[in-house]
Amino acid sequence: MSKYLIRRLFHSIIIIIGISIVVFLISRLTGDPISVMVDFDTSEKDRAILRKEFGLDEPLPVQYLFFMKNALRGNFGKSIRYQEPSLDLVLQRLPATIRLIIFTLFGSLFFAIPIGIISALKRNSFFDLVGMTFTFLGQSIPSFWLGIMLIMIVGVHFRWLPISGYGGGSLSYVIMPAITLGAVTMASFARITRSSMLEVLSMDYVQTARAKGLSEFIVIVKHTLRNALIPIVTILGLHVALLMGGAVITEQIFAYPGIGWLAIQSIYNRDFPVIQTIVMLVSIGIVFTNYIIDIIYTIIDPRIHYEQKK
Amino acid sequence: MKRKKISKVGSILIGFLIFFVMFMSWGVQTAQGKTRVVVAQGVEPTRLDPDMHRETPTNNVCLHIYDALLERNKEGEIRLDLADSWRYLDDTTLEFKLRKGIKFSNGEPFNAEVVKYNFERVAGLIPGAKKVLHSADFTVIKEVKVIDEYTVQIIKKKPHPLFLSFVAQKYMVPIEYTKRDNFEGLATKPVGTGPYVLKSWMKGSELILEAKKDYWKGAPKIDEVVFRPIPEDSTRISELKVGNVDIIANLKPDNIGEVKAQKHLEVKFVPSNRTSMVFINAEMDKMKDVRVRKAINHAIDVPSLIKNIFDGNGFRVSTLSPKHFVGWDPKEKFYSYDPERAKKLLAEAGFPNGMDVAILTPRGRWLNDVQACEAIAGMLTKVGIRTKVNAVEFGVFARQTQARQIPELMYASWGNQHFNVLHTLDAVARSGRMFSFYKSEKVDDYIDKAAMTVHPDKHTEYLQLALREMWEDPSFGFLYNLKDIYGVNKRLVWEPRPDEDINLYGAYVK
Repeated sequence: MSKYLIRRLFHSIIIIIGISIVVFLISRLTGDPISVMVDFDTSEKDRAILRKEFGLDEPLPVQYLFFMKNALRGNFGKSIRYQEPSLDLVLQRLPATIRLIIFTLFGSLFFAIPIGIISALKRNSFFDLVGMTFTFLGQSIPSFWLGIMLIMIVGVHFRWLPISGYGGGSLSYVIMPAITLGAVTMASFARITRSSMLEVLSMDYVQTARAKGLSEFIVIVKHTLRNALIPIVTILGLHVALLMGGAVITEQIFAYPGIGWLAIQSIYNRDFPVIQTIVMLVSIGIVFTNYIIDIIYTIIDPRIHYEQKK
Repeated sequence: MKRKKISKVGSILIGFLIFFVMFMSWGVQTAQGKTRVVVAQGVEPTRLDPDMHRETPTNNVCLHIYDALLERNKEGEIRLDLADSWRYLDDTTLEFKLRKGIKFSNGEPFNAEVVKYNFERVAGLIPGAKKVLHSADFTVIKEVKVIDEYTVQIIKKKPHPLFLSFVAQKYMVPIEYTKRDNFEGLATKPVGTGPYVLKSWMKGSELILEAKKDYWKGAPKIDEVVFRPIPEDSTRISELKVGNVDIIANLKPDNIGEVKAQKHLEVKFVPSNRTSMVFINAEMDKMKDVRVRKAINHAIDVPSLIKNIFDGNGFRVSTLSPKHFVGWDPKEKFYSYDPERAKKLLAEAGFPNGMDVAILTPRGRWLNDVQACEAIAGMLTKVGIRTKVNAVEFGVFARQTQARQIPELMYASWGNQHFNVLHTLDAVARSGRMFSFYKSEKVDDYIDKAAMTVHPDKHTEYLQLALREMWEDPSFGFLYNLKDIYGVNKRLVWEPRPDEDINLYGAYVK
């Protein structure tokens, strides 16, 4: 198993290097950052000074090597817009995003698993119909629309929750962004719980457990749910990546000061150092999360062994 | 086996426990009983060093923290601020007498040495100091002389009629505080002589300014001014509706009704300092004939554009000057909307069958830019100038314009913070400039003369002559000067200004 894990680690590093090259190229091929940084009517002389200052006058491969050399030392360069170390900028915003994502993940699981279980147990009942319609909506509603609707109804009309911002870290500011961000995640968790519950319920060992005379509760929780949750762990890793992507839109709508908003702002401003830092950190985070999930997987499902004799 | 199961259940429980501990530990911040006004802008400030940024949202914060020698009032007139008086000793020497007894918020005195230091910094005269973003505005400075503690002279390389306007934008920063770390600290911990000091700045979330009770012009009436970045238009409007935000800028015409419908809100308008125009690339052969360029002006129905694309929120300009600018011509004439005449002019110029052209515009940089271009293209096509709209991202637009690779036509909205049309003309109409695509010796001559003349009446006269000449021999399709639109909570007594500054000193809460 350790051999497999080392190989996976090696793959992960290659993926990260690949990402760094793609990000580097794309962000530089789409326009001159100086032109976005200064006024439309700034003189060419001033532009040239700035270009030199940010090393944008060097050829691309040189810029890339320079970038990687510094990145390994934790120096991702200075933000063009803020003229601050871009790693600092990103780290300042990172806790807000991590909070939002943890909240969203837990919140989705908290609602999705019971919905999935009950829908599976009472298959084709009214609850199942409502539950699945609900999840279907969750999956198909565009998140920006959901966000704006929440703001208009919950925020403006009923004034139950604050509309935007961070509120110094108050929980009430996370709820609407989390619902917006988590709708898709919750829906797919619920559907997967339901379908894998259905699958497991028809297994022989569940019949055996029932035949042994175990209470229905024990059968469901210990024998069925445990096995039904394995696919959830698998897609958890995928959803962390999805949520990171979704955070870009959600944070923008709710003016929630995380790295998603910083990312989109940096893209508008062609702030290369910040874009690179965010993408690098996020991709390292996602690759790492999936790596951890691979490990967790072997623990929760003893049938899975990565090391196979050739 | 049994124990293992329990530990798994346990770990899930611990997970939820952590979750709820986080739940509990995020406390709510409560507001205090002070008057507090919240301004929502689309982006947050970058650096609070006034010479190291070039954006309106950052400037709106800086202007509360710093003062300049001169200031502009709402009408755009230049008034004294930290200076007690100013006069030109000759065409190139400007002398300021300073107000006495003013201190920076860290206790440093404000005096002639401070003024010298500040202007030398922006002019690049301090050896080893990092170049500032505004340096191009101040390269005209040759020398700054301290005469006595409160008298200072600025000697320029040549006459510069816009110089007072630049002085009004040059905020004074302290010497000792900035020398210590070569201006690094100023970016996040600003120190100025202005009515407010920075209380806290949570990046991405909110920036709070606190009133200085002993401000030399009198204590501000609003205790705390808060700047919040809210990127999404609809979210900004929602926050205004529920009363969490008092001022939002750049309200779209489409949203005016929505804001007006709220009893506690009002919509405020002010003519902006931006002028929109269609650049005509007269370096291309088919645009060389003046009759073609006149035809373009006769073909565009400007009042209809203002009415239909901007809901009436704009003023037509005869050339490139809004009414409130120095250089505006009270005897201005407008091109008539006359498609027949346009067709005839085209035919006379040798294009009886019309021509195919393209208009370049950025997408979403300026209010309804693409819609305006589509309407203009429709109008031009009607007279035979078959126009294709080429709408691109602003980054692409900027790259193309800087490389001077523009098609026959280009739409742009030109900002000018100096209330003087010279600044616009010098960038877009003086031949040889980056954004000038036409050469008229007469226009060049008038612009150069205006740029060398400090005397206000003569200066204005040259500008008017330049504009009249440009009207006769147009190198632009002349369009409009739009209004800036603000959504404001009625509890606040505050007026917007054409230069986009949101200044809350002097404003108060009812």
